Amino acid sequence: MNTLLLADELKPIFIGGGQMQGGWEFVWTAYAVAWAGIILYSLSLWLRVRGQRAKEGVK
Amino acid sequence: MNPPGLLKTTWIVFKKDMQIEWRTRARLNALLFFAVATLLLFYFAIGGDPGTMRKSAGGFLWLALFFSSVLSLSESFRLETENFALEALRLAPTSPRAVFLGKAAANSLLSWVLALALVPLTVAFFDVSIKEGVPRLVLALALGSTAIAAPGTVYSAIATNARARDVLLPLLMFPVLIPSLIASVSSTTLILGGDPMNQMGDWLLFLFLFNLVYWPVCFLVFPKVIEDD
Amino acid sequence: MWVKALPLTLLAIAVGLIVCHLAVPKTRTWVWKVLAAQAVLMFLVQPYFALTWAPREVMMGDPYRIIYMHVPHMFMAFLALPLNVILSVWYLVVKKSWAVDALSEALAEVGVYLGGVGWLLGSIWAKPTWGVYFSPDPRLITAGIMVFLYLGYLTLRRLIEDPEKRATWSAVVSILAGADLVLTWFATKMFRSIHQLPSSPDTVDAQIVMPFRFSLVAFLCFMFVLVWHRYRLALALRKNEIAPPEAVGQTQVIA
Repeated sequence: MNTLLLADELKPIFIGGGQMQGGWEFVWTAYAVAWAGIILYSLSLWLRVRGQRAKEGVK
Repeated sequence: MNPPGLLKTTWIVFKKDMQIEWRTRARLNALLFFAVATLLLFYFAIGGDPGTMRKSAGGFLWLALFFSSVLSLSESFRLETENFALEALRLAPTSPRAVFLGKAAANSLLSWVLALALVPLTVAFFDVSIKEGVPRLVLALALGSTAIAAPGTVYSAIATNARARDVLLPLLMFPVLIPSLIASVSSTTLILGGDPMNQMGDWLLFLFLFNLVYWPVCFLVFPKVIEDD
Repeated sequence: MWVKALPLTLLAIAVGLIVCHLAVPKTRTWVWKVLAAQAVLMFLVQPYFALTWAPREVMMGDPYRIIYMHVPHMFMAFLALPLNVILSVWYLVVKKSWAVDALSEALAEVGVYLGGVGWLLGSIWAKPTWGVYFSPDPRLITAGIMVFLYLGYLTLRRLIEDPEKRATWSAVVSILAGADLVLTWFATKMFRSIHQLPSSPDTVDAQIVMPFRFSLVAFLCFMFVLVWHRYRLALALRKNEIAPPEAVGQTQVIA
């Protein structure tokens, strides 16, 4: 099932024929966006949980 | 005395809504005017290319209708919140599902009439003709209108009771209605522009399926929205 | 050989931990920490596998590597959000409980985050691959609408003050959203079949698959930890809403 999922994603690449050149800037951008998301969301969640614990500590 | 059954109550609710609409005809007129104005805006926004105009006519007709529906739907429950009318409805020994059917039917009819009224203008502004016949167009407009009305009525009931209801209703409605928009626009465009490859039937079938899914689902969940337990 | 074994072993560990957490309440204090550690470690190693170890394909070049990030995001979102639909049905039909409502809220938020970022990544991947950032591809559109639908769900939740109404109405919205996803999928497939996009071969090199499976397991661990904490947060917020406000340290003066 994994290979089919993957094959599905790779489909359009085979259309052009010939090799795609470079394109590393897209890869870096994508990884930067993904990592930014991971860090920002985790941070946001962590801060919110901490804030809630602080409120409950006061009570 | 037995409380009226589902169908009878539906009819009562439907008639009441229609009567209120008729008595405040000014609002109906304003709604029509809004739809026409939107259509005009599209005309001016797109610019003059005749080919583009013809191909986009169906799309603009439905967009104008969608925006007008947001207005008419948000009104649909607002009048119930006045004078505690909704509370009275809840207390009466009627099924909330009948309220849904009556209101959704009323909203459908209103949208449909609005759509029909927009047709002559669309034909004129965008230089199209009804190539595949008027009955098919009427059907497409009807199915599209009922597709908007079912989830729209549910969301309208929810939005009325939340904050920022004016923004919330379109925010909830639009994503859900995208498949119906695709189907409505596709079938209408084919009807207006000609259907050489016989695709219209598929789109109308899809629109029918959309209704087939949403009317029962909305019918089933609606009590949860207006009940207060 | 180890190529196949590594992701499978890690998956077994992750699943084992998750089952442990769900089945044995006492373990809930520490299991998430192990999963979090696993996620962090795997995230640190993943770039090596995805960017260096996986080969440069003859025809595909390098941009395909984006899918090692894109697909796990979407996969997890497609796990989280339909689960929300199921929970919503449960809430309305079987039993109303704050736990179910809190879990729904957690799944929706994490699902929107992963789905939204995943969709963006898909767009970044599409540009070098298809030449455009956006196209009427059924999966692209369905995924995009899914994110929008649940953004609406989250917005609705923020705008309703009464907790019970919030739980009930967001469950209703989720069910309608779920129905919509199925319909959108079919509508866009019809739309696309009319616009004739080409198809292609179905077999992929094993060396390309391994980082993919590895990434999936990493994101599974990550998502579980996120949902668990977001769930706890939602439950705590609910408790605050239901409990009557306390006068902090003040005695009332009765004149």
